[in-house]
Amino acid sequence: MHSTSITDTDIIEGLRRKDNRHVEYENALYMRFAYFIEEGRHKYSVNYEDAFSAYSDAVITVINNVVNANFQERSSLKTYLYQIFHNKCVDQVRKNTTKKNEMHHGFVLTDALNTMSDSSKTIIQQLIEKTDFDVLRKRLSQIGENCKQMLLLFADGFSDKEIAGMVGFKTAAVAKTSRLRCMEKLRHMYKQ
Amino acid sequence: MSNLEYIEDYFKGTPTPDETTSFEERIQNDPSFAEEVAFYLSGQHAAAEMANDERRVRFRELNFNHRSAQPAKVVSMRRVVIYAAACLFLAAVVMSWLFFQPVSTEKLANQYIDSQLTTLSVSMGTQDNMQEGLDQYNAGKLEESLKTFESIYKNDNTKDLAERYAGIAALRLQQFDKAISYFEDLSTKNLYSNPGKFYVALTLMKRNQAPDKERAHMFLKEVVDQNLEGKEIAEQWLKKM
Repeated sequence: MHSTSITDTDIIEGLRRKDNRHVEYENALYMRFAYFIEEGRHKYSVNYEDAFSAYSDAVITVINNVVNANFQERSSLKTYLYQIFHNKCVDQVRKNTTKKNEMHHGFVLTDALNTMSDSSKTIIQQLIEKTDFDVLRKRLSQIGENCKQMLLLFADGFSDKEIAGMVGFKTAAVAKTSRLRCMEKLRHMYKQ
Repeated sequence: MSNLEYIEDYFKGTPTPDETTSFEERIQNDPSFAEEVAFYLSGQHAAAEMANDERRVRFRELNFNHRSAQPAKVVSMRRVVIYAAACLFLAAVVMSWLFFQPVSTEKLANQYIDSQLTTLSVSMGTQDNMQEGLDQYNAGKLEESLKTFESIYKNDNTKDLAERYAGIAALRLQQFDKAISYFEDLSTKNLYSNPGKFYVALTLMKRNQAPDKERAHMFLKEVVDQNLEGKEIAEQWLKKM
């Protein structure tokens, strides 16, 4: 697949199909507007690395929004991506100006958590704040390729049916059972 | 399988108010359950972050390959290499040309004339008419000086110095045939120090016509071989010619 030979629609549909070719469409999206990096570099007076990071993060945001149906297609993919890229560049400039090298990785609460009462939400938030994410990520990388793939795909918005198709399980139920076992295994590894 | 499936179904589904109430009661009354909920959300977050990190790595690789493969940059780099090679080649050619290119015989002659023959030394005890010729020569009155030296020499052809000066004045006036005639005649004379052949060579070099260079070369070689006046300079010129 050549990035210049496919349309926005191809990319959007390819990402939404959530099959084994999703990486190809992600790459195609990245390459399609990679010239934003040079534009951003000059427009926002940031170095190449910062412009590259902003663009990569913008593409990741677009991918997630397309996959999770948050992209409504009210604008072209280019306009949508550029707007996000612009915001990322502004963040980058702000970060450079304030010399805050570490971005605050605030935990994004799910919508479901937001529907909870404040007392329940506070309990969960306090527990999450105690989580050592470095250790958790390390255990995730050690858990085994299949488990890691399933957990990452699910976190990316893939359904168990889609995961089953990609990993080779017969049914979504089998994929779900396997995936949750992996989650349980991760929990045990994390506690050790 | 612990409570992970229950927790996931709660977050991925659309819980009813009763389900939400029940779920929250467990969070508030069962610390172990609350910890599982927190872990589920943390695990999801960590997995999502890791997925994005893997994308960043992949994009960086794509970016690297894309930048490396950009035709314009390749061409420009290739051009830089070609230009650099061309510059080096040209520099080498020019240097070797300058190094090996024989120096113009006329240029050598001019350098010698400018440094040695623009003024002639006036010796003590020089005869009045000879002194007059030298004064005229050094004043730039070359034609007058030539006439004076010729007059002296015609009156007394043993006056070798007058013949020599007449030849030099003729050379400065670019009367090359006359100068060569005087210098060739001078070279035949049996003098303790005879510059005749050297001056013939110098005049030929200055004239610089078709066979002059070869003839000058021959005369210079004779100067060297016969250890005549001007030998050291003749040796230097022969190396450069």
